[in-house]
Amino acid sequence: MKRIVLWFSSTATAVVLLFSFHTSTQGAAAGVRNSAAAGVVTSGGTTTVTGTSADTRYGPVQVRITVSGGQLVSATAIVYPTGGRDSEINSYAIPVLDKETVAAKSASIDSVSGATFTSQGYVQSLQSALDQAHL
Amino acid sequence: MKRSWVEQLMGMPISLLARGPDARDDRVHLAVQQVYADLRDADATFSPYRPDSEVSRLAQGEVFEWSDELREVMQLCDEAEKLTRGAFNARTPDGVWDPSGLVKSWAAERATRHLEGLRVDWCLNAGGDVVVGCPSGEPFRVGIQDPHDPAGIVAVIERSSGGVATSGTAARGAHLYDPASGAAAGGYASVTVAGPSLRVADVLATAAFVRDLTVLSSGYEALVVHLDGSQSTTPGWTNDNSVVSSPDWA
Repeated sequence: MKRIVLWFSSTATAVVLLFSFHTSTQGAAAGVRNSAAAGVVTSGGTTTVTGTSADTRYGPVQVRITVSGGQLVSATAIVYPTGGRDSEINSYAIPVLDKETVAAKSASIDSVSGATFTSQGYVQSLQSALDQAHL
Repeated sequence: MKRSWVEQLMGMPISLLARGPDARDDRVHLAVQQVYADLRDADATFSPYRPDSEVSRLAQGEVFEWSDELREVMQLCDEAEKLTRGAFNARTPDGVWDPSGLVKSWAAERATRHLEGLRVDWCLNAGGDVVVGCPSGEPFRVGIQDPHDPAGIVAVIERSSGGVATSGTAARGAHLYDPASGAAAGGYASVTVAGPSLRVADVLATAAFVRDLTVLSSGYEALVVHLDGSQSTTPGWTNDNSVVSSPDWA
């Protein structure tokens, strides 16, 4: 359980990094969807893990993953700031989250080498998160 | 058995993956804490963003007793400048000494000394620069990020020792230039260099990115992603784990 929580904080951190990269001059978000209770739910062969909400400068971010048969099926930000410039950030950040999850999984890689920038940091955090979850 | 750790240090996530029967052993966990302690120390000494770091104090013209680490990094920066015929230079155009281009990989590689002698394979990733050690002989698979699509990978290489470093400007625009000529880098989308030392690979990746592949040293091989998305490699580059010793590229 502790491992899962760690995993989650990594993923949440990753999202936070993306948010911080596209620096917005705007303050707190205009609106935020209600957060869900953190925890693990197993149904059939599928486990859904909901992370704790992480506060970012734009507002709270909360991430949920689904694991089935030992494979990461999806990673989704279920709570994120909305409104103004932040919507642009979200429309960028969230598809990347799903896409990279799939890319990292399909290539069965252990690590990623790339030019240092924040999205790259995200990739690594996700990869590390995958390892912590033993996927 | 695998275990990994991630900490945000020096402005980037630094992740460490341990693999092997002892990956969850307390000794490994303690060694990893020492790795991160090393990296925190390096940040305290070399961060240009910390007013009390030795680098900041140097920049302010303060006179103080230099640490052994500062002397070592100064010497390595000088060596890197010579090795690359000026394509790597730790001095900014306005004369400030900023070794950030070398410190990250130097500190990462140095910190892995705490992992020697343990019965685990390890892979340390410092913001995109990767160094691995595999006593088992089984390599790690390192994806090379696509500079035109940060979510994609252009190649996967397997390595059981040494470092892999990538230099590029995809996300931040042109921020690198050739210190010798002052010309902005722009010939490649990214350059990845692999070889026995991560620190040297990092220096060479930066130098090759701002100039060209003639700066590469013997034992270091490169994969280039061009601006049009095509790729090329040096003759000795291999995606598998075979040990390559190629003739000097220059």
